[in-house]
Amino acid sequence: MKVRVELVAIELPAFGGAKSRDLDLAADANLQDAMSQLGADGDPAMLAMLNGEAVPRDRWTETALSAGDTISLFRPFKGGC
Amino acid sequence: MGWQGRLLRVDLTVGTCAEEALNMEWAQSYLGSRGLATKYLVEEMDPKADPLSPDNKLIFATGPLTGTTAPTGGRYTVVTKGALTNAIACSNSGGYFGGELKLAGWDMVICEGRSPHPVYLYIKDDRAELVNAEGFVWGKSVWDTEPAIKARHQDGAIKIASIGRAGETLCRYACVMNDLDRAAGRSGVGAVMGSKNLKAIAVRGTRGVTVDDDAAFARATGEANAALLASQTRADLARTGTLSMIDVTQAFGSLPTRNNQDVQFEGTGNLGPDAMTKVRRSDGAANLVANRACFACTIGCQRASKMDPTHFAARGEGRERYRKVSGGLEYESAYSLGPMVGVDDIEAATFANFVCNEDGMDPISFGATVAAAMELYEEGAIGDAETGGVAYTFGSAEALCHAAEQAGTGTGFGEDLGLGARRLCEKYGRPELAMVAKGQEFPGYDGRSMQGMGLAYATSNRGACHLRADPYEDDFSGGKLEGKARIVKDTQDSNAAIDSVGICAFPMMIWGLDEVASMVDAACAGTWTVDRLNETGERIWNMERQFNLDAGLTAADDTLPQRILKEAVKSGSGKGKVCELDTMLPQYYDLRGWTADGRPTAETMQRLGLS
Repeated sequence: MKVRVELVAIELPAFGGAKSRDLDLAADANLQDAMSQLGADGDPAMLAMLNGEAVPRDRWTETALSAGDTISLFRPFKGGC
Repeated sequence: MGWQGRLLRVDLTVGTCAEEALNMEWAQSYLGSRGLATKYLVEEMDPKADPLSPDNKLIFATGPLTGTTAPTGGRYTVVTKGALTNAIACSNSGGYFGGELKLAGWDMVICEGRSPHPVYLYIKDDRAELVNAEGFVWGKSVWDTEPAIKARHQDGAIKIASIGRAGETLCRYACVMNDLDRAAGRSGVGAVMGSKNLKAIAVRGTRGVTVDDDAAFARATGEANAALLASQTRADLARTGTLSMIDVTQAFGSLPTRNNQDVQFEGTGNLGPDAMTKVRRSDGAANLVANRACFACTIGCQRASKMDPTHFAARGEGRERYRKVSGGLEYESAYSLGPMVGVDDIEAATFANFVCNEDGMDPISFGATVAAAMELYEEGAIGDAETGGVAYTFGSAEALCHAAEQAGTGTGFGEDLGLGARRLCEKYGRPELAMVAKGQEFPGYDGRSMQGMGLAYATSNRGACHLRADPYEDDFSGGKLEGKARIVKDTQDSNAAIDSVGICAFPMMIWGLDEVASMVDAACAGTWTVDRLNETGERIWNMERQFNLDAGLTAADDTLPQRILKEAVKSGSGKGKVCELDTMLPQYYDLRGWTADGRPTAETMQRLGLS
């Protein structure tokens, strides 16, 4: 299945400079699978939203995906000016 | 070492400056900067004193790592009773002033009383004197004050902390500016300085600083720096500053918009990092000119910006100073001068930010006050008679720019705007429209979409603040409500310690407290561990709380506006939510070792050495 992945205010090598891309996944893929395929799961500061809803890291494996879903990746700063 | 071991006591009433030994017993318990300055304030003033009276004290304090080679080791704090909040005020700034003060040999400057006429304080290493500012820099903006003082003393290396006309006219959210565009921004510390007729502190330092164990310090700072340089977060901060957060809060749905009526704003595309780097047709340049760094900083998150010279706010005769480079938008100023007031004009927001730098106003409080004024206007509570004929409607760049100039100089509608959102809304009979906690205006995170941030705002000792606690990761990753009180409490303590050593908050996105403990342990006498830092932070937090209670605040002040408690968010990941403060607050009090009405118990005070 195909899902859409958007980068929010970050850059990732897998995107080649683009801010979004489609991702081909197995029909039974979960959010962890998508993050692994993107090479984003090794970054402890990386957070994810699925269709606009935040998903805690410890629930990535149990969060099933559907065709047409949108995953948003971001790495928020904390505090400051 | 780490500390210089002395403070400068300035009696403005009689015009004297005297050296005093730093209380090293207190330094071992409260560190420096925020913690140690608050200890002095608590011991020396009546908490019930009027913040704008001579009885208030104004303390400029460095930490033991300020002025050293610790990465970001240039911070200082201004501690006083806040003119905006009538609560403890502790406002932190970067730039180069703090490092210079430490290099001159001073841990702290305590300003007392009120000068009979305007003065500035000049410090050169061991020498300190009060100099007449009347007919010289009093009445001038920060941008004119700094070069004038440097020219008078024929020393371009002097570093200066000063107030602009907002501080002189006692704007409740006036700030202390240093190095032209760095600010000790919150809680009206600049108004306190203005109330004392103190225009500036100018310092030149050549004595240097020492640390306890040179080799250990070099190792600890080298490792800390290596961690920063290897970090993608550091690279992102250098590239975009904090401004990229506007894309995050927009996507997440926690971006306060039109006075917190919404949490997403349709115009963020015109305000974020892409807009800042877009090349303009008018002059072939972009808003962003360069990034900049503070003393000892290897991150470089500051923005230096140049306005579009054809923009209505910058063009024409007499406005040349706005066509020069100055400190540009960061996340908080972009939020408050953009979505909070409904404006999607990056140049208008930049102009308003320039004026905040020029005349010393906190852009967070200024923007949120203008937002309150806009809602008052749209509700009919104020009209053209009050605003001088300008339509204060959400989205009006003209109103935003008009407000900046008037509030900066305390003229026209600026007198009302200078009251801050709470007093402004109370004056016109609509107190519920002020988006404040303890009288301080909200930063750029909505407390309904981010529950931990809501609790952090309500319990912050200095009023609504996004820096006292660190609920970010938990809030942004959908953490459960029952965990929020613990996260807020623990990070309030650790942040209080970090604020007291003299480094910036930003490396903490990359470091843990271990790195900080290693540097402090190497720099300072005594054994400093993570546990000791956390305990010190908890002590500082409770000391601040007790000051507030003695000043007359109560648990009733640990609250949020009805909009945040009762009106559900309309969109984003927090859709349908209100802030569940009623659930979180009792858990928080319990974790703190406080009574059900928010008072530290005798047992808690004794455990922390505060009784």
